[in-house]
This record gives sequence, structure tokens and C-alpha cells, in this order.
Amino acid sequence: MTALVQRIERFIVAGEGDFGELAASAARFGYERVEPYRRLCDRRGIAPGALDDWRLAPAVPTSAFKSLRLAAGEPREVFRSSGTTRGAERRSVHYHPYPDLYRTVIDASFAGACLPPAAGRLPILSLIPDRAAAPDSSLSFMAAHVFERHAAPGSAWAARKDGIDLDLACRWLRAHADGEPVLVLATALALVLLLDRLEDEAGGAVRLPPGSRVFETGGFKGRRLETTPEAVRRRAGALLGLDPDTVVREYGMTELTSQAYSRAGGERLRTPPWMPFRVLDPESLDEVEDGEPGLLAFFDLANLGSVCHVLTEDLGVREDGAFRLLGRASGAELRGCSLTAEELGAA
Amino acid sequence: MSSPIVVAQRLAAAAPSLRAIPTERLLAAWNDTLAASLDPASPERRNLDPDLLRSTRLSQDGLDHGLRTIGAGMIGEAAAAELRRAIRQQEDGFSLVVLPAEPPGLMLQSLLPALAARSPVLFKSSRAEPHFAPAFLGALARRLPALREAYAAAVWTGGDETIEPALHAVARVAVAYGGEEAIEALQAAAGAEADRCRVAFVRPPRRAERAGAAGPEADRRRVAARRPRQADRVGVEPAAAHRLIAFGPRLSLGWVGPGADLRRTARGMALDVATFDQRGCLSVHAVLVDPAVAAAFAGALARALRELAEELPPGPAAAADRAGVRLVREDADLRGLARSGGRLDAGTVVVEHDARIGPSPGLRTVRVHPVAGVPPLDDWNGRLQGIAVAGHLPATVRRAFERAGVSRFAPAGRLQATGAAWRNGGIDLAAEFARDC
Repeated sequence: MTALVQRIERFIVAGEGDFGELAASAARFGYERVEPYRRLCDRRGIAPGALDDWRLAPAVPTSAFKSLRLAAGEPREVFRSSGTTRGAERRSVHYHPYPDLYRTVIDASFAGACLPPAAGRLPILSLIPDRAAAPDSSLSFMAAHVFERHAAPGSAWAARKDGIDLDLACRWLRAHADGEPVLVLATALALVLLLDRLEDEAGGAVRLPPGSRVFETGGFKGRRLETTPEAVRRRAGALLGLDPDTVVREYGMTELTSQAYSRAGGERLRTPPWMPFRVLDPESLDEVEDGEPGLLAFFDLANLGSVCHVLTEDLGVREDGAFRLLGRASGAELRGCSLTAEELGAA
Repeated sequence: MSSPIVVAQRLAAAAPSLRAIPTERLLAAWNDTLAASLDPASPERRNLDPDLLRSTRLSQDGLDHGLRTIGAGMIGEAAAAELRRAIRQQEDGFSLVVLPAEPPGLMLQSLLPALAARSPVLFKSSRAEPHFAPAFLGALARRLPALREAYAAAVWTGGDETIEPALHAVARVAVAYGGEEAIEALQAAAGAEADRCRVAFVRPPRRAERAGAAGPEADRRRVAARRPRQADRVGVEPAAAHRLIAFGPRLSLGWVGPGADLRRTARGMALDVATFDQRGCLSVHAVLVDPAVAAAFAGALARALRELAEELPPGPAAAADRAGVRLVREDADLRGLARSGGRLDAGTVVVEHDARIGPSPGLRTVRVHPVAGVPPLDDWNGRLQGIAVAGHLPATVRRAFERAGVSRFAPAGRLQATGAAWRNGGIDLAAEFARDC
């Protein structure tokens, strides 16, 4: 493990060190070890010395993870994106030479964002597949680590290779309706399916113990569902007997190692100190004013094994130090002579 | 405003009076209306354009050019040839056409065949572009009032349970332009209880279907639906069998083979890209080019797009489109691909190393793929619409395009200029409107 990895771990765990200095070191590390990144910097006339300001380090579009090997070392984990159900799309591949950094990130951020205060181990129901079912999923890696760290006996995986075992999930929820707080891990789509099933079942809504939490991540990529994160949160609150604020939304992606989480009462997502974000004007790639929409870019120190500065396909706006998602950049969807999204969603 | 169901009742009874209209009167009304619609100085266009410019996000020049491109080949002799065809709907009843939001004027491609077949039609306009269809039908009815009872346009939210099942139950034919999921939803609304007639899909095959051969014929599915109970709510006789003709989302390509005049080809290809700001299914997204001239052609195309940005200025760009183009440019830079620059909305040309094609994010963004032989099209079976051709197109390559569903080949610069005789997806809409079940 390099000294830089250790310094970044200390920053993540204890806030030791200076982010700007670490970020500059990480950018130079990428320049030295990731061939496509070095070529990009060279073509743009950016010498390693100019990387002292991390904001000047070129941000790599997430699409590059689909076509280039962006690895600073021999990978010990390889994660692949799930792709959509349509289109001739290639999947992102994220090579991880330093998966312990990922574990460190989860340990440093998950509990604070998603668990009740001072929680020890607690029963967890996962609607996210385990590693055996999805060995190349970064989300499954995360869920497995959360289980390892926080799961009490009786915790269950309800996702299979071929879908969610909703019978098991509903039985589990009803069995845990009385007792200690529980945690439900779900993708947004899985959560909607679970809520639909609860609504259809004879027993209807359950009332989970106070202090319970729901972790929800991802959108409805490639699926025709007419809903919003806010609506999902409200439904989850009603059908699981929870305060909607205890439904925590995570923003993450295969191409990033760290995550942003929602805070109580809103759609705004906050990043941890080791992953600042910027909102960039697509025309100039300059940072826009607060409240102005633009492309979201993240500098994730925990991405040291690939590239730290990532330009996403998400549009967002900075509000009160956090960001709110506005949509996606055009690109992968085939739209010629099609109905609009509004028509398509409701058709 | 009457509900679509009330309108449908009126349309269903209009077929006999429609058949009685002399062809020459119909032709005169069509020609006069279409000429006015293509003339930005006409009173019709002066009334319509403010709304249409807002809803289409095209520039005034872009709108004028786009409407001329789509309509000019459907006037005069071309229209006469269609309207004089000896095909007529003999039954009572109406058909339903679900229009896309873009490009504007696409309804002409289903209206002229419907007129030729004397088939009454209810057009469902998109909420995003609800202006062109009612304006055109209104202008047509002012010239030939009998048409007012046979053609109408309405807007409702797609999938409205209080409207669509009932309409599908009584419509003789439904023609829909939509995304893959929207079309599958329409299929469900039309009913799955198949018996005699058919649903013709000119849409991308589902994943499971992509493994096999594709193309217009292979895409066709012959099923039908009966929904008599829904028909009761409309108060007209249910159609003997309901047919759905679905046009899914598609893109078009350019082909530059040996012998092409690069400067002239680049100008034509740029027109095929820029028309409707690259938002139609006949818009060129990528160009497959003889490797010997790919770099030179890419340069010429970038110059032609820059010039066109002055002649046909792009409309206001959506943030998502600008972001998409920025990402394409950044991706190209990281991969060391040659690309053009300048304003995001004025066109981008990227010379790809990868022969596999992909959709453009819009704003006149084109990937140039150096390709020597048959391009890899497996991922695009059923998703290709047209090919703008310059230079030699080998028969093997043409057959590969046809197998992928291409139904239009045209010289570069003329791809989007479809005429009245074009059969989208190989389907003769007039014959479909006229067909008894």
C-alpha cells in the first residue's frame, strides 16, 4: 500500500491532513500511474506542477470508464455498472487496486448517515443482492461490508440473481415489526416493488420499530416507473410506519468510491469532506454560481486507484453547500421521432 | 372543448361523407393548405409560429427549413399520385394516430395517406407540441369544411385510463410513434387478446428478439384485439379487430463510399444532421466513411456544420443536450480522438476509432467512423431508419442496412426530404387505413 493511500485513509477516518495538498498529490499520482490520464494532461499542456490546484486537474467523464482501463495499479476488485435494459450500451468498469479505501469510506460515512444514533448491531434486510449473486457490483460490495460491520443475527438477504424475493421480504418485515430498530437496504426500484407488494398484501402496511431506517439508492434506470424520490420516501414512510426523514437516499455510482447522502427532510445530497463536488457550466466547464444548474463533478480522494476527478452525466444545482439532482445529460437514449419523456412516462 | 371520446363518435360516422368528396377538391384543399403551411409569410404560419417556435425549440430559420423539408415532397403531383390511388375505407369507423413531440409536421406523413384512403382520423398530439396538428387540420377544414367532421386533433395524457382503452376499442387502426416502452404500453392498451388482424411493429425488437434476424418484415407481429366492453363507453360499434402500427425510436446514418465528392457530401450530410436540430428519426447521428478519406471528410463536415450554424441557426439548447455534448467532447479528448470544437450547439464532429455506432446527444453532434466493409450493426437491428448515401454503396453493405430495418436510402442532403411516396418501415399507411378486418 502506498504512503499516499495511508494519508488519505487518515484524512477520511480522522480528518488529519489538508485536503488541497492530498488532492494535489492524488492528481499527480493519477498523472504518473494512469496512462490515459497522463496523455490527456499532456495534450492539454497541463504539467504535473499545475496539478497543485485539484480544480485544474481535468475531470474524467464517467463514459471513459466504459472504454478505457483507468487503473493506477493491479486491481484487487473490479466493479461493473449494471447498464440499462435498453440500448447498445457498454458497461462501466472500475478497477480497484485499493479496495480497503472503499471499506474505510463505508466505515466513515455509512453509519453516520444511515444508522440510528449510537446503534450497535441491528437486524438488516437487504433488497440488494449479496456478493455471490452480484460479484462485480460495487453496491453489493458495500452492502456486504455493511452486513459485516452492522448486521445482527436474523438479518436477511432478499435479493436473488433473478429478482427480489418479496415474500421473504414481507415476512421479514412483519416478523420484525416489534422489537429493536431495523435497517432496510434497497435500490429505489426494489423499494418500490416492496411497497407495491405491501400495499397489495392482506396485512397492508407494517409499523417498523421507532428508530428504524431505510437506505435507498439509484434511480429507475431503464424502467418505466412514474414516481419521484420524494414520492417513494413518502410511501415508504406510510407503508413502513416510519418518519419519511428516516428514509436516507444515497447518491453513488460504480465510477466513484465515495457516496453522498441525503439529510433529513429533503432532496439535497451532501458529500463527505474527502469528496467535494462542483457544478460546472457545460459550455466552459467553469464553476457556476450557487443556484445555477450544471454538470456535477466530484473529486473523490478514495478514487486514488483510478482517477479522482470525475465528471458525471448528472445535472445538478448547488444549494446550501449540498447539491440537488436535476436530471441527466442527453446521450444514451435513442429519441428520434419518439414521444417525449412526459408522454413516455405516462403512456 | 369536446372530450376525445365525443370527438371519436363524430369521426366514426364521417366515413361515408368523406368517400363522397371528389378527389380533385381534396387535392386542391390539400395543396393550398400545405403551401400555406410551408410559407412563413402566410397568415396561417404567422399565427402558428410563435407557439410552434416555443414548443419545438427550433430557430425561425430552422423551423422554416424543417417544414419545407418534410412538406415540399408532399405537394402537387406527389400528393395527386397518392390521393388518386384507388383505395378507400369502405367501413364506418375512425383511426387513431399518436403523434410524437418532434419533429413538427410529421403528422403530414399519416394525414395524406388517411385522406387518400378516405379514412377519418383522430390525432393525439403530444403535450410538448400540441400546435401543428390542430392548426393544419383547421386550415384544411376552412378550405374544405366537410373535412371538419372527419379529422380532429386532441391532447390528453398518454395512458389515460378514462380515454385510451375506450378509444383503442373502437379505432380501426392505431398508428403510434413512440419509445419502446411507450409502444409496449400502447400494445397493452390496445389489448392482448389476439385473433385475426395484426399489430405491425416498426420498432426495436426486444432483447430476446435481437438474437435473430430483424427488419421490417421480421419485426411484424400479427395479433389483434377485441375490446367490445370498452367500446360501449364510446357509443359506437367496436372495430371488428383493432390494429396497432407502431413506429419505435430510430436513428439514421450517413455512408461515404469511394468516389464521393467530399465537399459537396459534407454540405449535404451537414443538412441531414442539422435539419430539425438532429431530433428526427431521419436525422444523421453518425457517418460511416471510407477510411482513406475519413479525416478529410470529418474536417469538411465540421466546416459545413459551422457554416450551417449561420444559415440555419440552432434553436435554444436544453441544458441536458449541452451537457451531453460536453461529455462527448471530454470523452473524445481523453481517448485522443480528433474532434471539432466551437460553441456546443453549433456542431461537433468526432472521428471514432470504434466501428460500433451510438446515438448522438444532439445539438448536431456527429461521430465519423472509418469503416471499410460491412459495419457492425447487430446492436441496431430494428433501430435504423435511413441512410444518407454518397459515393459507392456496396450491395453487401446495403443489404446489411436493410436487414437492420433501414427503409430509406437517399443522396446526402436529401435524407429528411421524404416525399408522399415514402413508406416508413415499408408500411403503406393508406392501404392500412383502408383495409377491412
